[in-house]
Amino acid sequence: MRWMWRLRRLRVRMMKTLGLGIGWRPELALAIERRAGLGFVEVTAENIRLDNIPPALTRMVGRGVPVIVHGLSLSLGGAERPDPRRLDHLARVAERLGARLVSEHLAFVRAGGDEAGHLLPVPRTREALEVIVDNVAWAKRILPVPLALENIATLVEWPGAEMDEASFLAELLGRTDAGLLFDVSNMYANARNSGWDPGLALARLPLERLAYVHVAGGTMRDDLYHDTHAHPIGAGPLALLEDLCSRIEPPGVMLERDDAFPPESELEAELDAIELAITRGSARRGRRPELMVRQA
Amino acid sequence: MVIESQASAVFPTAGLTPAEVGYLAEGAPRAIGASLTALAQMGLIEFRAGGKVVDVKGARGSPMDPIQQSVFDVVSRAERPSSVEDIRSAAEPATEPNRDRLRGLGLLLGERALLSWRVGISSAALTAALLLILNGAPPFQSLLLAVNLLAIVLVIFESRQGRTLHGDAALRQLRDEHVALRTSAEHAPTLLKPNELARAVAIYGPAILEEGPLSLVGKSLKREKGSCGACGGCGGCGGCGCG
Repeated sequence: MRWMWRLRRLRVRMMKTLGLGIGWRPELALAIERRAGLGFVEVTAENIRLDNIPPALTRMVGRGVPVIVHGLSLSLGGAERPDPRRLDHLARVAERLGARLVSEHLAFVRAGGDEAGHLLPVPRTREALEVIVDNVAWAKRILPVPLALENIATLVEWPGAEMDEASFLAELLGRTDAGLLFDVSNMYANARNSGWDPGLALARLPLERLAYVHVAGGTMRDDLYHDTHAHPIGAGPLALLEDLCSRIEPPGVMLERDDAFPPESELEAELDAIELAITRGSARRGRRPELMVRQA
Repeated sequence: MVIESQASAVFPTAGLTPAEVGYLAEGAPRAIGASLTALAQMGLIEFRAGGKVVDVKGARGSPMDPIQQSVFDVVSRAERPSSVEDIRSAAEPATEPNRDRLRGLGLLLGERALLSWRVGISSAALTAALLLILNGAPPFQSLLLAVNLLAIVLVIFESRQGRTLHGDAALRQLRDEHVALRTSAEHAPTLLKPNELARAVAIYGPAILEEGPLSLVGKSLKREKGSCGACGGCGGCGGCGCG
């Protein structure tokens, strides 16, 4: 019961503040500052030096734009506990930027001291679940704000899975009191490459724990869909976002763009396309989207 | 306190063109540098190694203001690649309307005010020397001290590019307001429109381009000192000590 109360409190807080957001990148600083009605920005902790926070970001924080701090390298899905220095950095960035939430991936990036340089999928077994629950609990003790976990895109699967992705996520989030950062594009990529229906998976996700949503562009290469964050968002991920919004009102939805940065007009068009998908999804649910109402 | 609070009042800087902002910040060299940046971003000119500039044959578009036109004329009429220094010398007269507008807005001191300040500073130094001598100090040392003091104060005064307190406040305001522009210009200058990039260079200087894809532009424009702008051309301030 306690976790339900805490989750409800988190969701109420998020609902009050988030809306349509974007991943803050220095290349996009001007376009982000000029985007009218932007609800929040997400900052990658590994790109922030505490002794040299970009003034443009500080200015956004000063203007009251909510910040979420996103981690890449905690390796919560690893067999070892997260590196205390990385965890401390994540916590300190969150404190310095007044973040409402911290998010990380359900993945591992190192093992035995070796860095993979990529987000790697965790084995979906009971044994792995116990380790990850312990890692998340350990991280949460250090972090000053609530934590949300993100589903990743992967081209490989560990053999011997005892659960599917949705079940694994639901059990992990239930046992750790963490929120869900649902990456629409990651699920779209996994579904497309593995040949399963993302809509069915969506129906089994713990959406009541949804903290916010990532959307990004990708491309087809060698018959595989790659979630590149460097291409415009395609029809597939947008349709999945619409499907999501037809089931639930997401507290926040944001665009991730990490490379091949487009001119401001194209970025605006991407954000507009996301807004449109949210509006269509909400219409299917028979509701006017809160997300849009807040920005009006 | 009163002067400071008035000086820091919000100033309508949005109406200033990149060239005017450049002139306010670092005189004619910065104004011309901003124009060169805009022309390069428009694809009308090209920077080459060694700080040389050439026009791009067959490029579409045209210069958008008199300084850009003057700069473009210098580059396009030259038989050889032009140096940034040559362009600055040739285009400097085209920046005078900017200087006059900034003076009209009360952001730069006028010629008379500049002269009065210089005379006042010099007089104060001489008076101090005289007082020291009258109080029994050795004359040579007193004069030497006064000359040194005068030089230091003049260098500080001239480094302000003739800005008034309002001019300083406007420049501070521009630097505060455009941090996002600066960040984008440093990391992805090619995504910016010509006038946006020119404004970034005008406010923060060409050094912001040095680490990015336009590093050649940044390095070529970096040497801004040596030509006087705010003091109304070399001579008045005693030979380019004002840069």
